[in-house]
Amino acid sequence: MTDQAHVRLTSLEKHFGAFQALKDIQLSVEKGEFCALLGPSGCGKSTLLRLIAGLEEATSGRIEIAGRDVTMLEPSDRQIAMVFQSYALYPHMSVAENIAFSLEAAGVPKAKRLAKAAEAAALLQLDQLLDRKPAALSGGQRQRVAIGRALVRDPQVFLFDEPLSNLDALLRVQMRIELSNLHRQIGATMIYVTHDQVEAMTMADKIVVMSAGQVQQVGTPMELYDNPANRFVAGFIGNPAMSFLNVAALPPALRPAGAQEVGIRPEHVQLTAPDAPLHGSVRLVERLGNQTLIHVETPAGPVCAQAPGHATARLGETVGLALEPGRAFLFDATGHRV
Amino acid sequence: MKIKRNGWVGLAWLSPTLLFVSVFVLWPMVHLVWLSFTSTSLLGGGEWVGFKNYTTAFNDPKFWAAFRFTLLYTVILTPILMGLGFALALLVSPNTPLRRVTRTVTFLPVVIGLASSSLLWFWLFDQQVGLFNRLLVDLNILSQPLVWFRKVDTAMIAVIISVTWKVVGFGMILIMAGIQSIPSDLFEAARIDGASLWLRVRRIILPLALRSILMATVLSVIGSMLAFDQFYLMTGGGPRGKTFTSVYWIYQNSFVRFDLGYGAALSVILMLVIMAMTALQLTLQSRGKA
Ligand SMILES: Nc1ncnc2c1ncn2[C@@H]1O[C@H](COP(=O)(O)OP(=O)(O)OP(=O)(O)O)[C@@H](O)[C@H]1O
Ligand SMILES: [Mg+2]
Repeated sequence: MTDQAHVRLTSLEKHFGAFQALKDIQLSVEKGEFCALLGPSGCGKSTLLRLIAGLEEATSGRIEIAGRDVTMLEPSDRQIAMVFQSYALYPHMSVAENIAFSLEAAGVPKAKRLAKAAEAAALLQLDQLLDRKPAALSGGQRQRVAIGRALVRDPQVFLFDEPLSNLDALLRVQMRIELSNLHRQIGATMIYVTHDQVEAMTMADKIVVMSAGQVQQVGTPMELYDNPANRFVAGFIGNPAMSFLNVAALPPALRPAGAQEVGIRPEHVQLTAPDAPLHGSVRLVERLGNQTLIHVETPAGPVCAQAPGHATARLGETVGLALEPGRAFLFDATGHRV
Repeated sequence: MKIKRNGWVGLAWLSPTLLFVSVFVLWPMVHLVWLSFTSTSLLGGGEWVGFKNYTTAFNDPKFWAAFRFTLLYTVILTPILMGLGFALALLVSPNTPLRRVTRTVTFLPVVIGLASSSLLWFWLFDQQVGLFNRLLVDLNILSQPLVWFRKVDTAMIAVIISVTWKVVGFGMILIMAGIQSIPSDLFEAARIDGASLWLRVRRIILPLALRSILMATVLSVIGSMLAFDQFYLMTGGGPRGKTFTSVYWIYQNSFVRFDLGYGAALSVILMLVIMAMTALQLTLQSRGKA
């Protein structure tokens, strides 16, 4: 950990009654970094973000933002801004009033705060909509207003909780690009919660993979892909997902020493002749156009192989499988990399 | 696609409600209007008198005095009930155990009868045994027990205190429902935006709970305009008939002077006034929303 960490979490824990939602979180985010919190539903991503925002109180541990201990501060004193999944726009206020509300709370005179709201709106192509109410906006426009509201506070850190999950697939891709551009433009520190690995992989400088209230691994997108620390990260990152083979059930020639499971990504599995040492019957063929995913049931477990678009494979057919040498990941009984 | 309309089936589904409304609302109302054009006495007899009851009513200074008194009572009581109801609603709308208890305790008087509560307060205000008087004396607010019902002003204050205790929980519950229906993430956004309590109340809670507040106000105004039990039991209309309300005066004419026809005419006038007031409030409400 360097000393310029912009957001630093130390031994952060959160209990809801008897339930422990976050366990011993250590994390530092650099200034200007785009950090994604990635994990399955219920793993505690939102809870962690709300802790940073100050909407939820930490049970123990420490939160520092821009070198200040903010653990006990009110959300408005933490120099953060948050974009909610539901956007949380004030329904009875115009776009301009929504964007300027934090300035109103800070006692900024009306003319000045409207000018600042217009400035933020221009950056987000909302200039034409300043007098509209949120109900008269499309999902993407509401999303932009929510971002505008965050921008105008000029915060040290932007917090996003699944901001794109209410948008349709096409708009999501577009907003992803816009958010990335915005991040580059203003160079602010952003912490972004998502359960969508594509969002995390495409936008983030750094991904924090979480599961069951714990940080599993922190790294750049490619570090996580090429070098997962454990079975959870290996299985979670990558689409289609990695296949896991039970070592005890592999042919003796293929059995690696000291491992319980072998993980292999679909792009590192080739179909070969049926008399290969590892073989099985085809259970499912998924044609995606540019590639075909062939799911094979082997004695060591199901394996997914990525084949060219026009690969021929019939259901029930027996095929042999070759694993690309040096590409397999080995895991011990506790799921750690060997 | 074409929808086949079958009016008779719809009517059949509605018939139980229609029957109920006809028997218990429509018929009494028609009967009331008919009575108001007669000189029917409580003891029987009477004949069609046309608009005579109405002309009498418009020239009856006692009725208009009672009407003005009721209006004054409503104008004083409504802001107290709504202001206090809103403040209490703000206080108890978060769902914590202590707040739930406070909510229940505040709402309890709403479910006891108005007559019981009026009697209860009549004795609390009593100059000899009244605990309320005793409390004010012990707190040095009064130097000696007050005879609350000897003067119009203090009688009004006493009734307003008792009615506030009795019904403030009703407005509180209605307004609280309005506040609770505001999505919680708006409050979280406001916390991040750094809005003070006052700004949150003024810019978020009030505008978004406005519909429930107006509904509570309409119901409260109607209730006050129909005030009877509290004055009947606590002031008996005194001193010197100065605390008669409209309904009390209708009661006096119908059941004390046996003049049912005249009482019916007064009831119709009061009904029309209240309907007009309610219509006005609802119009203001829909205009305020646009
Ligand atoms: N206020 C609360 N009281 C009790 N338990 C809570 C509370 N908030 C969250 N939890 C629990 O904490 C865990 C983590 O919740 P959280 O909302 O952080 O998940 P998440 O990772 O954001 O999931 P999702 O992707 O579904 O939004 C869940 O098991 C949830 O039930
Ligand atoms: Mg969440």
